[in-house]
Amino acid sequence: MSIVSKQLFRMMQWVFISGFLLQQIVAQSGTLPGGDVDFFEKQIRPLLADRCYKCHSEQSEKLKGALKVDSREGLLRGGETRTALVPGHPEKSLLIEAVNYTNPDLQMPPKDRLSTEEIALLTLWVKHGAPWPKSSRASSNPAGSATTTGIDIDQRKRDHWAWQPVVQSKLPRVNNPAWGFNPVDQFILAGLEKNHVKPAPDADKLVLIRRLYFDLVGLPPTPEEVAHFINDDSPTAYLQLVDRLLGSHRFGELWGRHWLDLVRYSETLGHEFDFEIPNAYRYRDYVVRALNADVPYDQFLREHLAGDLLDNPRINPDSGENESLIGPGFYWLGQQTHSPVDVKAHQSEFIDNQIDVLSKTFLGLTVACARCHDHKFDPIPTRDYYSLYGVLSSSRYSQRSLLTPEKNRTTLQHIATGKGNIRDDLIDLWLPQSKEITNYIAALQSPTNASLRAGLNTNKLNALKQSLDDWAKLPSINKATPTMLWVDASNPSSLNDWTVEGDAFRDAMVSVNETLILDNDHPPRLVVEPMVHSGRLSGRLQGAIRSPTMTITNRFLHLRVAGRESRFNIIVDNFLIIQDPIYGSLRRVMDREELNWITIDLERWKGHRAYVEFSDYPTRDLGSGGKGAYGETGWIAFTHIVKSDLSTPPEIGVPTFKNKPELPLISQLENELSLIKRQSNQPAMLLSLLVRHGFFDHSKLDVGAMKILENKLSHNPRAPSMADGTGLDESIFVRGNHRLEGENAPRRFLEAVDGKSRPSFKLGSGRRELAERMLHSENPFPARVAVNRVWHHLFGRGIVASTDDFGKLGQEPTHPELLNWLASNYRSDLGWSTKKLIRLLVTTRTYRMSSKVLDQSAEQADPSNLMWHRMPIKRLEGEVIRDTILALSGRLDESMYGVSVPVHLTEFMEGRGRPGHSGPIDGARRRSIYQEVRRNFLSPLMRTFDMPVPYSTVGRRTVSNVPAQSLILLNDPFIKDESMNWAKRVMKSKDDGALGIIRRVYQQAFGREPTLEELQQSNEFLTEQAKLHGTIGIDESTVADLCHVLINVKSFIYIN
Amino acid sequence: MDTRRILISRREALSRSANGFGALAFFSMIQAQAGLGGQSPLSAKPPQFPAKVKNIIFLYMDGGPSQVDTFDPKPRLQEENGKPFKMKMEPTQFNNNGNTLGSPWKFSQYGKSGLPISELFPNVAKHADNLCVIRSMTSNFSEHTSANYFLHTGLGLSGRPSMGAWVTYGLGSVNQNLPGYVVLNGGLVPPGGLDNFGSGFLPASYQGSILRAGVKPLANISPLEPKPGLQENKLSLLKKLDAEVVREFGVADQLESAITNYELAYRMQSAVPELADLKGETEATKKLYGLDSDNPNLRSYASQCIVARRLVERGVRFIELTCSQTGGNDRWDQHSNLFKGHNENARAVDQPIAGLLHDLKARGLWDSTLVVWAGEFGRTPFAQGNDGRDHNPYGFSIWLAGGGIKGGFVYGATDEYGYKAVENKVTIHDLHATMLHLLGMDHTKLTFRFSGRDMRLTDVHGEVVKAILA
Repeated sequence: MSIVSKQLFRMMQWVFISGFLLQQIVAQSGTLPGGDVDFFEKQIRPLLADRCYKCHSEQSEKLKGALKVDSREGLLRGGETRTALVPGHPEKSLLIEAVNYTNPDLQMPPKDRLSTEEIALLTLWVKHGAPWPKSSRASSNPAGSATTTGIDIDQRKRDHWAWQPVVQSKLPRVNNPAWGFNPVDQFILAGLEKNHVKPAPDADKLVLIRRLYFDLVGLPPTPEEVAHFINDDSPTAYLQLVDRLLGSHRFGELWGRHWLDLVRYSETLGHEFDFEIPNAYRYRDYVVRALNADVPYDQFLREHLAGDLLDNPRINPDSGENESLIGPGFYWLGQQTHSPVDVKAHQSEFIDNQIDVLSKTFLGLTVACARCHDHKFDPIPTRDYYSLYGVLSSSRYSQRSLLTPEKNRTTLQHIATGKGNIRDDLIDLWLPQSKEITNYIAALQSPTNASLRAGLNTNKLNALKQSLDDWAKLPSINKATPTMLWVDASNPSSLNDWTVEGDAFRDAMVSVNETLILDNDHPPRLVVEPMVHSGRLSGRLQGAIRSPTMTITNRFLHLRVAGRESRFNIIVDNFLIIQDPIYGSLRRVMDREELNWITIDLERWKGHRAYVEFSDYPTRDLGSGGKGAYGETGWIAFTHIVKSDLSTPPEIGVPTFKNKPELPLISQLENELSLIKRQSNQPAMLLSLLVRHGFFDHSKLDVGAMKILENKLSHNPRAPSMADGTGLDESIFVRGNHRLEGENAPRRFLEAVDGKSRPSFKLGSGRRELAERMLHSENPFPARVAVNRVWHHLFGRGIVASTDDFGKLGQEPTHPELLNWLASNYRSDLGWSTKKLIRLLVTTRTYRMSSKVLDQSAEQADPSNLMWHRMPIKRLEGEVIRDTILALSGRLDESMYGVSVPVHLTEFMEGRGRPGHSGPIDGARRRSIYQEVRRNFLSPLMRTFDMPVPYSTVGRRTVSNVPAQSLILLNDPFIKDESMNWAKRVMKSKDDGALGIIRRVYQQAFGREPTLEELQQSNEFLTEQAKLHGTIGIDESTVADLCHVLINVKSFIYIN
Repeated sequence: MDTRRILISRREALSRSANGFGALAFFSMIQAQAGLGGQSPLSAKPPQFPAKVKNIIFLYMDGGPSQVDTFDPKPRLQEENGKPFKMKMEPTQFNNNGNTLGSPWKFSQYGKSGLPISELFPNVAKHADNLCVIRSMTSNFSEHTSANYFLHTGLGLSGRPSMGAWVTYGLGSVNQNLPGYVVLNGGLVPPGGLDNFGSGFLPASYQGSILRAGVKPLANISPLEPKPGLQENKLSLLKKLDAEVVREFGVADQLESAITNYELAYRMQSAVPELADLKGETEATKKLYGLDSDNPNLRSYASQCIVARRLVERGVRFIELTCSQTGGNDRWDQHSNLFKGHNENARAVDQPIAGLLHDLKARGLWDSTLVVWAGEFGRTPFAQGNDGRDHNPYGFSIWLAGGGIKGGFVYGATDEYGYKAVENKVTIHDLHATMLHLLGMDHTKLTFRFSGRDMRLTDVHGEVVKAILA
């Protein structure tokens, strides 16, 4: 250690960590000790070489953050963020910031802080202009900006099959054209012939009917259905069966579950308390309905991406509900953190999951891999990721009302007319009563004179007193308008950028001297200042109004607001679980009739993006907060919002007079009555006070007609969906770190699909445009990915086995021409109809092949069955196993839709957020798709049989094969109960002895008669069990034992 | 092919054997041991390179014990007790930051190494020369749930495989009668729930099996048949009927292994309850762990520690112990009442852990077992309110002991206040990399293709902390 640095070191010893202090100290010393060159070569270069070069130099094996510190140029150019060195200004130099560890996201060297002495030396060096001897080598690569992408998009596109356009492939030639039933078979046969492999023989009819039932509706055929099909020799029997199953409501319930795997369907948010996502089940029902109605897939995709923004949404003909609006619900099925300390980090995780699910589900691309760096293998630069990020961060969560405005339009018109009439009635009531005021004033002025009070109403007297007290408090001069007035209801243009949703705020501007009747329970009011009021037409109406997105710069937000059973929320970085600790102050539950200033301290969130939301929706916001904020007749009103650095609200809001009239007031009152009759906008202050305090008797007011009208307003169901927010681009987060912002990423679709010069999205968030760009014919992904998913479910493996990844790391298609042919037909001839596609595929001869291994040479040539020389054996999904058991026990409740059956909680399912009550063990006998999916309390039965964790897109479930499955089928009480129910059902129907029972349970379970051997073995078993049970003959528990065994037989959960 | 020949002969065994259920069990055991057939995802697999240890016991300290009150003494906190905290405070979970808070517990130096440990752990302290304390541990999250997921799975969200799942995926299990990854549930399921122990995108076979105290330690482990023989008869018929299915379906590996699973399941029905039954343990052993204590929480943790040792003896790879509920304390999460809460939590685990360490040594299991003691984060050196501490992921202490690890060793350091790690920072990824390394696996090579990526427990991070390896 040199003497100088030793001195420095001593100086520094009392300084702890603070780089700022260090800078002050070094600023006082003169030139660099020992001269610039000497100081650099002895102190700085060795230090940089020793502690930084490993990751930040020419010699780095792996250059980190695109920063080189082995030349002055390198430091000046900087890395992915910005310049690392500002000579003469240690406080502006990232290099110094990094070594000081003051920024938690930029701490270098990452593992081990430099010593205080070393930091001081570097600081001193920078302070003195960071001299670097000329002789030292400059970087050999001075050019090159750190933020431009390093990947060759065109090259990567050329090199990978999936980016090539979908073209209608020609049908291949085959030697045995007679084998195939339709063109699909030709592709399969061509592959087999090329490899000299013979296709397997056709499966028998029993196998086929079971295969079709389990593949299309996920339930076993009844013995009668089997018999009918087997005995039907007509050439159309198979096709009729296919069409019947495709037309069954059960179809959507099975294929809906396949879809839910893609969108990580869950009804709770997971994390610490597993809060519910209200109405999530409506999304599930939407999927089931859409599949049953065979909504074209392009429309289905469009609805998912931007169903809330379509010009012509799809309206359900039965319910009148807007179906399209439910599609975007899938965005919100991910997990969310309770009380994150870093809210933007949380947002970046949430949006990452949205991008991941969106891109894998619809594109089969792993765009989320480009979050921290350009995609390692696919032509997707980080910029593209943040282009989509901006689209999603510009979109907002909303529980949308599903009924279209038309539904209530006429009623609302009648209500508006009715309210006008009521206003006239009120004035007629007030006029005569106001004449009495002289007597009341006299009584008030001489309180000791009892005779003056004779015949007067005490309530009225009190009302007058209160009104006059309030009157006296009215300010008489106008205060200056504060500069930061954001919203002022008297200036409606200040609300221009606000978005309105639902009926309540559609016509909510109340003007001066308007009368207001929320509903029958509320007395009439006379409004004396302009305001936004959700109850203007009726307290029964519901809705939300949201501000444009702002960046928080002022510490305080003051809002003048009133309401009941409603709330306003400040939503920071789209964070929705507004409750303590940390976020509770961003929500206010309204419980006040009178307008009042409420002040929100936003200090913690300065620099973040936020919007304000006023809502009287009865649907719960996310999380457990907001007690008292929800009700069917809630309302909320506001007049002013002010951004300010002062903690006290400004003195504006109360209507004022230039010259306040003096008492006596009778003339004032008469004047005001004539004002409101003339519909003047000069506020009728005194009248308003008298009305509010109850001076007038309104018992004669007839609101009966209004009551009838309000009851006609339809109950408006809601579902999680989107609302478009302010369209704002996001900057690239350098290395995925949201605190290190790089260049701007305009909102648009992938460069590799849409080209380098593609325009940015213009409308709001851009989701609508995104949907159209995704569906553009130049984008080969949606159709290929969708047909491959269908193929996967029917044939056990996709043509591209990695159903969710068509990228370089995914698997290559085994039959690329077939995939193209299917995709191209799906888009054109089939009109994106999934049912037509399924019909095409299950009517192939390929689908009808046997799964049995008969031909050893075929097995050797195609051991993994990649050519589909036979059909694979498939393990049934957990849901199908459970549904089948209920079908056999005769207890399956086939009712559809609605609130999910609460999950059955075993004693092993513990933890925070555990529901107070367990659902029934038999899931109310409903199909599995209607069972509740709680992220932190997943059904063990389903999990053990591989229902995926709702985390991200899973198009291909794992098929595990473990003892835990055997333990469930052997020992789970549900299985045992249903075995007994099955036995009871069998015994009730007929008394035909042991052999008859055995034959019937076999027919029910497997669609066939038992073999002689099976019959004998089962019969012996029944006798043995009866002996052990100690029963005479065969009873329910004995038969239940047999049923239990059959559930465990392998052909129960495997189909051939 | 050998495999196929064996499979065929297995099938023959199935269709021909009219013997009782056990004959096949023997057969499948041989097969599992030979690692043939490849059907059982839990078949033992060799490590990538010679392993230092075979098993890991993870003592999870739910809620986040305070580093400055346990293993990282900071005299400066005492000196400035009650004074404004001098360093810049990062945002905290409760945003109710008070003044500097000195530790209410005294530290002493123990053993030849002189390792300082606070008086919260008088029994563990007796093993000071065997402990490797990392004082520069860091996490990325200040929220329990995110930090739990991060500690358990390497990502702050649910849905990823837990470390135990990765270990079982990498190494399989040498004991086919017990699950490969066992969580001994002491009564507190950590925030984030059972997904801390999930298998994520790995096959469900690798998820942690939750074992509870009591007669039904594992879900669906007990036969429901009211009388002996009933279940055996069912299994016997099942075997015959399955043989018919094999004839009907033809060769199919998945059927074969599904049939084998019933053999395993049948044996698990007795192996698991036997495991949890401590009758066979000597009085001396019970006393060693504290089973005779008058503190029910201590007794509960003691029995978990004994079961952990029994699991190690039976070849279970990865065992995690969760904490029990002590008094009115919310885990180690003392946002207030630090003194009471930490005292009671430490008392519940101190003697059982010391007993476990002693017992592992006495039974020759020490060198093949790694014990890890860790919370999801530490606590702030400044107060929350007056008498609590908030969450602190910037620097906290954990310890490791057992095979392959330096004893009586301190690695890394926090600043003078014990707030942030400043020397030899260790990340959760580093910890995972080191644990896998000791088990003979390179964390960069233990991968599973999902989401278009070769996923790892350590994501794209992690370095083995070589300095702590013996």
